Amino acid sequence: MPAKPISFGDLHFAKRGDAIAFLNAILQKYDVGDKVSADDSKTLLDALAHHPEAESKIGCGVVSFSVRSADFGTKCFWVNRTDGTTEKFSHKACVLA
Amino acid sequence: MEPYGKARRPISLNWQAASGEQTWSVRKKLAFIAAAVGERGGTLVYANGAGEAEEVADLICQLLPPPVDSDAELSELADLARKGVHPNFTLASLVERGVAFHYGNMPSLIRTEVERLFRNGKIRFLVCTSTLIEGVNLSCRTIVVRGPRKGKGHPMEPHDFWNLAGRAGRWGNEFQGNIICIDPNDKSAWPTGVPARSRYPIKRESDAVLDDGDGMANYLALRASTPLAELDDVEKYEQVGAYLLATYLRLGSISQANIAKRHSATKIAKIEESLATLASLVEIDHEIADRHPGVSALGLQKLLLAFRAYEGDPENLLPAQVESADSFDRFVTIMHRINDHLYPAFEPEGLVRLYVLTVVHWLKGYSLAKMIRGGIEWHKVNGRSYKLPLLIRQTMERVEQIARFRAPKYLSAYMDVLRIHLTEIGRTDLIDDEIDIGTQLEFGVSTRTLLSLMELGLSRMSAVALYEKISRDDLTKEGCLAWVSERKGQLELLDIPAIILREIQSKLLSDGDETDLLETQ
Repeated sequence: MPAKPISFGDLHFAKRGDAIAFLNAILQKYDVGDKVSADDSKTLLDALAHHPEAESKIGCGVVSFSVRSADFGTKCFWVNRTDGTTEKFSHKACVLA
Repeated sequence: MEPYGKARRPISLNWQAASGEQTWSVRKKLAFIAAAVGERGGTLVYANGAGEAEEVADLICQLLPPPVDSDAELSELADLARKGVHPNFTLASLVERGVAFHYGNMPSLIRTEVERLFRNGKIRFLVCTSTLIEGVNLSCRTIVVRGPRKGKGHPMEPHDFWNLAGRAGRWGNEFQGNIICIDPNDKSAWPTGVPARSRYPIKRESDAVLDDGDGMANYLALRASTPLAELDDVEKYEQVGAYLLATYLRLGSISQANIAKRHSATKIAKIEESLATLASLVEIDHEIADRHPGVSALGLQKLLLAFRAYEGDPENLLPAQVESADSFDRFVTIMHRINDHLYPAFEPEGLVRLYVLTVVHWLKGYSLAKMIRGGIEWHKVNGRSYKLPLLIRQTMERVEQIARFRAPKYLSAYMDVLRIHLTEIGRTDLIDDEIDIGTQLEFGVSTRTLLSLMELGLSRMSAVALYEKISRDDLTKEGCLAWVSERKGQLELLDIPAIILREIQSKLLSDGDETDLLETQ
């Protein structure tokens, strides 16, 4: 199967695996409870647009991203919305959809 | 009778149950003897631990004749136990029959009321734990003891035993009391026998640790280079070691400190040598070290180094606002950071999330009753079984030991070191001094209103009960006083236990204000 390229804004990845590795590396920089930096948030916002449920995940609008705990002792990205609600999302789903 | 009374010679009872020793559990034995000898009241029973105290109190209660009529003060205490802890908290039904238990992790409002009603004779049997030795001033007519331990497992030292036994014989105007020691010849109960009455010198904890050979010097010699998990007797040496290091940092030597005068010069010199090595590793100012007794300056230093090595946004080093969605996980990371660099204060690691949940709920101003309900709910939702008395005790223990003791102790040290770091990197803009985290945790408040209520002298239990009725979060002390005085005569219509109303009245409406909140009751 030929490699499928994907782009998050200005970031271009020749293979989807590279995109996942890139997002993984961002996730691993953070401890649970951390706010994601402005630069990384920009990347995440571009990535989130590829999410199969992008519309409902973004909802009324994104204020920031956090890293918090997920199930079974893992961590993942969470989107913080303008109305104060928050929801987790899988960064892999942003790439594999 | 001796002229000055206080004939405190222990009475020994060798108990042999007719049906054989095995069928009589130690707890039943304690309960039977207490119930038999103590019906006149003023009877203290010593139990080893909170769980045993609850069980023995329940056994005693079963042996008593049914009460003739109810007493208003006992009913009020029962009401407070039901509303403030849980509708099925054992204490409630026991106090209605004049029996109670008493231990350190109980909410202070309930504990002091138990003590008061024991003193006035309405609670006739009080089953207590070693908390009684640690600063509770309570006398009795009779004390019943079997194999007393202090804390977890250690046989009680003679001076502690006599601190306890000496409570007998100062009951009202009676000068004679009974000390009943059960199974005095049983080595499993009394490994060194019932301690004889004599003078026992009182020794400072720090001196006792230093007296123990070269243990302290050896500990300090290894402290910087060895992970704490690999050192022996950390619990024993860390506190005193921290104290010695702080003293050294302050004075530049411990040879002139008072503690040095009570120990041999050789021993002090050896300790001093290790302290010099440790002090050379520490940049932390002695004033910071002094502000956190029992927290080693070496731990503070290691935490500072960890902050300097941190590559993320320094804002993420601070606790998040307790209302924010990040708060829970941020505390998880901070507790792990404290465990890794400052001191392993929140162990086992597997319980960190549960500790954080307690801390977050405590800061949000949850009542103990609400936290207990939450725990029950969690067990039900996750299909886990639970025993209510144990769940209640464990919730109380986490509140007292984690939220009110360990978290403020180590988090306020964490914040002080973080402040040093933020100053170093020019980010003092991140420092918010509104209410410091240590105070927030100690009182279990994160809003101005709750803090004001406690500053006015209310116990947390009363403050939280009243806070539930106040909509604003930003009331000063004056604002709280105004809120209460505007509602004179109406507060009793709210579903607040009478003991709490009385505390609100005495602390918030006492200044020449004769209106009695309770007059309509």
